[in-house]
Amino acid sequence: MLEIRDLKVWFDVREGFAKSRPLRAVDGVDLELRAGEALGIVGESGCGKSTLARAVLRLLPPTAGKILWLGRGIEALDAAAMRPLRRDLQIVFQDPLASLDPRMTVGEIVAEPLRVHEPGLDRTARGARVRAMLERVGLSADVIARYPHEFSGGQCQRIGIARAMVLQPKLLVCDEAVSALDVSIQAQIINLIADLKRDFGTGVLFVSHNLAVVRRLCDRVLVLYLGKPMETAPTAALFARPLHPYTRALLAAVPIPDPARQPARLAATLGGELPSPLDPPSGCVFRTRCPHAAAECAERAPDFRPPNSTALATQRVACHRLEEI
Amino acid sequence: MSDPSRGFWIDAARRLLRHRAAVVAGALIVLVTLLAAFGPAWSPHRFDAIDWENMGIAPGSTNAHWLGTDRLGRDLFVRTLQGVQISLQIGLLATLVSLCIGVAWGAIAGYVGGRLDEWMMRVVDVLYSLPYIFIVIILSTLFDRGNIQVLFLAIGAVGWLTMARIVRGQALSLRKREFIEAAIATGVSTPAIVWRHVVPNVVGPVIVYATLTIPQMILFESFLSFLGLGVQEPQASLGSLINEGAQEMESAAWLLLVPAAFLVTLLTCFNFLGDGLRDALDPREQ
Repeated sequence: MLEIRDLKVWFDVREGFAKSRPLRAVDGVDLELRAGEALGIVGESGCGKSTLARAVLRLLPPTAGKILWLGRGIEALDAAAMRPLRRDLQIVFQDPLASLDPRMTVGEIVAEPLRVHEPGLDRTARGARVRAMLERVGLSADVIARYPHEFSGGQCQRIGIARAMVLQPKLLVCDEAVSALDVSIQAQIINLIADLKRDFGTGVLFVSHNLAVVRRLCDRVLVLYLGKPMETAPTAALFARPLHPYTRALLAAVPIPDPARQPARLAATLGGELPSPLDPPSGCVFRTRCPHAAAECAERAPDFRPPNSTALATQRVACHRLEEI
Repeated sequence: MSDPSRGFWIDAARRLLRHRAAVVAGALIVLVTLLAAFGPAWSPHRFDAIDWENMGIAPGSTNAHWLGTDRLGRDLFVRTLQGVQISLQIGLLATLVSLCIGVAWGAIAGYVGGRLDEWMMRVVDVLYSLPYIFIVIILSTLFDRGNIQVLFLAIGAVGWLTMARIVRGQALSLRKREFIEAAIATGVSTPAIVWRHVVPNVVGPVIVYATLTIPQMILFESFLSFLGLGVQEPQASLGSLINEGAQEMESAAWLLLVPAAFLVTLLTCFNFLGDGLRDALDPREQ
């Protein structure tokens, strides 16, 4: 349904009078998403996962590469040509309250996609659709006359999900959709997204730094590091036998009840800081923090390839020393 | 969820009602407006009728004219109310015109941004640098002098510049907000985003600035009428009445003091109301 080939999103960064340098937020990502499938995109802060999500929806202009939506290249379409396609491409944001217009009632917010894409609908029919959707996401229909600031974060996110799902899109992008919520609320929202995905057959692109959440929801996972794919695999396979050293480090860092300590523990596992995407390491971008780095890793970027062993054919990994380690 | 409040506007109204000066000012404005609207019709005197028995009568010296008469025997109370009527009309009309143009211009420039923004704001800069008063004097000689409304439509059309700058600044910061990105992702067209998302969210500062523009426009009209460029006899505005009164202030001070008192009261009230609205609508106060 969605296919991305060698997608690059670079930003120009200017420091004073210095010549502008490209910030390689996303640097050569391939991915494929089938209808009704959930793909998790994971990585540390600043690895380009949100940029990737926004570029897929053409909220950011891609620098290079192809985005194929239902077989059609959409990477170069202008805003007007994109508009009809947006019916099937919806997004849920990280900050639930900020993504809702403070001057609109909940009813108006959820009705907006219907106004745009089904202008023929009369008021009563639209109202009925909005109420049904609000009930579907676990809110009572009488919230339509109220304003976003009257609701808690979890409820606001339900409203955001209702807005995204009211047209029953084919693709739902969730950009850190649960990261701003309490842990107990996170589970409810994840279950809601899982239910909607199953009932409507929606494909989900789930961007998160939280591996536990991704494991619960996603069929496959793509691990990004400095804008480059490190490993992709079906969720069960990835968690059972991570092949890339970076994936292993991420998984080693995961089962901590206190998420605030996670970055510290990750740094301890990996050693060193995330390099600047303005000045990525030569060869394999992960080599500066990789316990298995060899001379070869500095010279040439590894291919993103299936391992030699046929038992692992569903996985793809970018590592020179995959077979040795 | 037990809070029965119905959102931003109810909260803002509540905050405004707590602002005592603004409430008093608002009530006074309503009172003066009603008086100006219906007073002249109910009064036995017409604003341009001459009372041959009572010329240049001081307030209190006859029961027929509460606030006295001018040199031509016209009732000063009715003339002042008539003046308030015209001054308010002009203030509101000019403010409305500057509001419409300024909000539209600023919202489009700020939201669309880029080269269009550059171009639109340079136009504003150029207009800013033209001498306002000369333009208005030239306009007032071009238009039929009795037709004050047309003149103030024109003034409003020049006076939208500050409004456009205020709205543009607000729109620039709104552009980065997530709910705007959500609207783009949903496929809402640019004009619809400006109209449905940007304009409602700049309305707070706009209302405040508009409330403060009304007294400016009234003052400006008074100034023009004082120069003899505004309202023409026998019509009266507060400015022209003050002008006439000033010429006779040694012998008939009430002719100056009565319209001046109305003008000062009205301007003070609008400024207090604007102040109260700013406190009530400022999002940082929430």
